[in-house]
Amino acid sequence: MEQGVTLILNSLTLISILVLVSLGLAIIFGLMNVINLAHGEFVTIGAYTLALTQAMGGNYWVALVMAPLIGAMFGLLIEKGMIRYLYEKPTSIILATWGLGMVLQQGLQLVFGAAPQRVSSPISGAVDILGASYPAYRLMLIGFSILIILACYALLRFTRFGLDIRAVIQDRSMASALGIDTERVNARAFALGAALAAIAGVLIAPLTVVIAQMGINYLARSFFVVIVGGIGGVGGVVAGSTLVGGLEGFMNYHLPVTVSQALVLVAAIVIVRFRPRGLVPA
Amino acid sequence: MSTKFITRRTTLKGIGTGLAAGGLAMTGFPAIVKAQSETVKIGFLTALTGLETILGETQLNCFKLAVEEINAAGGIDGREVEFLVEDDQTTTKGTIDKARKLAFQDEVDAIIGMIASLEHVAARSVTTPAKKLLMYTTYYEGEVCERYFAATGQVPNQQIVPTTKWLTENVGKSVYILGSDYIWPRRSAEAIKNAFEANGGKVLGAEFFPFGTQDFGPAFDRIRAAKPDLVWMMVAGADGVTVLKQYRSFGLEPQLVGNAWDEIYSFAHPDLAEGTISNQAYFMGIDTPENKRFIEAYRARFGADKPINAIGEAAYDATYLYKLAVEKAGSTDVEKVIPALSQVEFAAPQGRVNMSAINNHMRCNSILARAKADGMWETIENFGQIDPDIPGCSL
Repeated sequence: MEQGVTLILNSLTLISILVLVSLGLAIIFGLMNVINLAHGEFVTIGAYTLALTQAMGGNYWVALVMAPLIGAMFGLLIEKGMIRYLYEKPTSIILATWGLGMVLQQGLQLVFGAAPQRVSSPISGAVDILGASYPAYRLMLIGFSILIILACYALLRFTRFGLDIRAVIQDRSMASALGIDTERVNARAFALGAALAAIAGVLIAPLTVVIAQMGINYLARSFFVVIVGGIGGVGGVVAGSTLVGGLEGFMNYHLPVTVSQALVLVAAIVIVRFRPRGLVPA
Repeated sequence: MSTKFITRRTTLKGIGTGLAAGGLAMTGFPAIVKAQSETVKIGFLTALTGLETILGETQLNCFKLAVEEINAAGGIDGREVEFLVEDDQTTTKGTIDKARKLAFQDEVDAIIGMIASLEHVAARSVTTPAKKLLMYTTYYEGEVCERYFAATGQVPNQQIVPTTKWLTENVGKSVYILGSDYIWPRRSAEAIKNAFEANGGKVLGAEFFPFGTQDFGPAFDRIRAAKPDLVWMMVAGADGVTVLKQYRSFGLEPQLVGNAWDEIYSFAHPDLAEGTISNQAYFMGIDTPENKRFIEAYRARFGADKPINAIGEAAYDATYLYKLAVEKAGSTDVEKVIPALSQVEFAAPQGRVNMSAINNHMRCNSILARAKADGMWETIENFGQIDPDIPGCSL
């Protein structure tokens, strides 16, 4: 029983991490079709926001509010300064964002040094759940990712902004003809994706090492989640993360981690073979 | 180039250096002529990006410090030391490419550096056939017995064995091992297992994780079930911080031990590191004039509150041992330098060091210590210099 509870909670933690880092990518890659190889660095920017805020005496919650603003600002700058010239050239976007990622990594390292940054979590200690004691922060992480999923869903489904984005994705020229400012929608969507990644950075930071290169750990996995889950939006991310995180979490209890990660990869290839548009296609 | 000419300024500088050496003023003069003709070229190859970035910066700084000191004191036998830095990205391919560049394109006299064992394996595949001296400055699994390879970091009998003996006598006899999934943790786990069994202890489990693992939760569950007295961590580079953060958040009881923990980790996260036990050849707390001077020089050059660790100090030692060996050999010819390496000794920050002639490994010191709340390490026991044991090796 006790082990069953921690197994589920550990899997939920892994799923939450995957959902958090992939949501932003689902919008930028899934919806806007931009292959953004600097996505991991947006996560890093969020984590560094937390480190900097705490170093200056601010608390965790301030950083959680600041990070999406800073992330959105970065996203907007990058979209306006770079991405918007490249929408018609997907390969150029790959190269440009790859380079951007390296510039951001080395830039952070130049400013902050190579040493890991210090961050602390707002809550510590463990909570007893059905006889199993589990770190409180991880429970908070799970709670927040559920909230963020719901907020994203609501944003895309019920707001004017969401409607505009969906219209632009379905048919860019028709949306434009109907009076939607597609350039503005693009810029906002990119900023939103970056903001989500930055929130993810703050939430993940207390669980992991905060260094300029930390984004690399998330880049491949978030693409993986979005492709397996389906390039369709929030539903695809949840499905992809649940499959990858759940399977890995479960197999980790029976197999060496290296083997279970490889098996998850194999499973994903099989799924993509039979469902090329992912588990939950748009 | 102007290096061919003896200008008034360089002559004065040369005389100045000679005078600075006091009674050796006379030897300073012929040295200048040599300095004009050629330099000693050292390649520094390490991880400046990738998993081991957090360790590479300090290691490079220590190397630079040694080179700058050597040059300021008149170079190696009067020849200026020139160095090239290459980043191997903590990857096998990166290391091979950069080792080839240093060996064949830049034609360096020796290569110093490297952190993760995958780097020394990759670099040796280039340097050993090319007959280039490779000096590795990180504690590792031991086991390499090659003429053109020298190591200034600890091997298991200098680090794991004395640590295990102390742990089984003073803390407990059962251990659970967590490591990264590559050669160093896997081979070291074998050494830990042998050492525990030799002392009547037992390894309850060993798990290895790919680089960049995000969640160690499942392993902690198994540790809780196994109830070991000790948890021995060899999760490398940046992942070492992740596993420590998560271990603390799960509030696990067993005493933490690691042979990769040092000031880099404890300065960044003193709250997480406090109370952990580690064994290194060098800790900043060593109370000797050599170490005080070393720390002062490092901090004057690179920043006041910067940590220094054993890997960095070993790079400093390697550079000095190389200098002394070249001077002893009277040449940078690798065939002459290698036998000379074991004939010199250096008053290092960690204490006196020299190399073993039979395996080209350094007689490192072995210091068992516990992390304090301020990030410094408190010595539990200093085992002093230990002869490196590479089974079956006789060069």
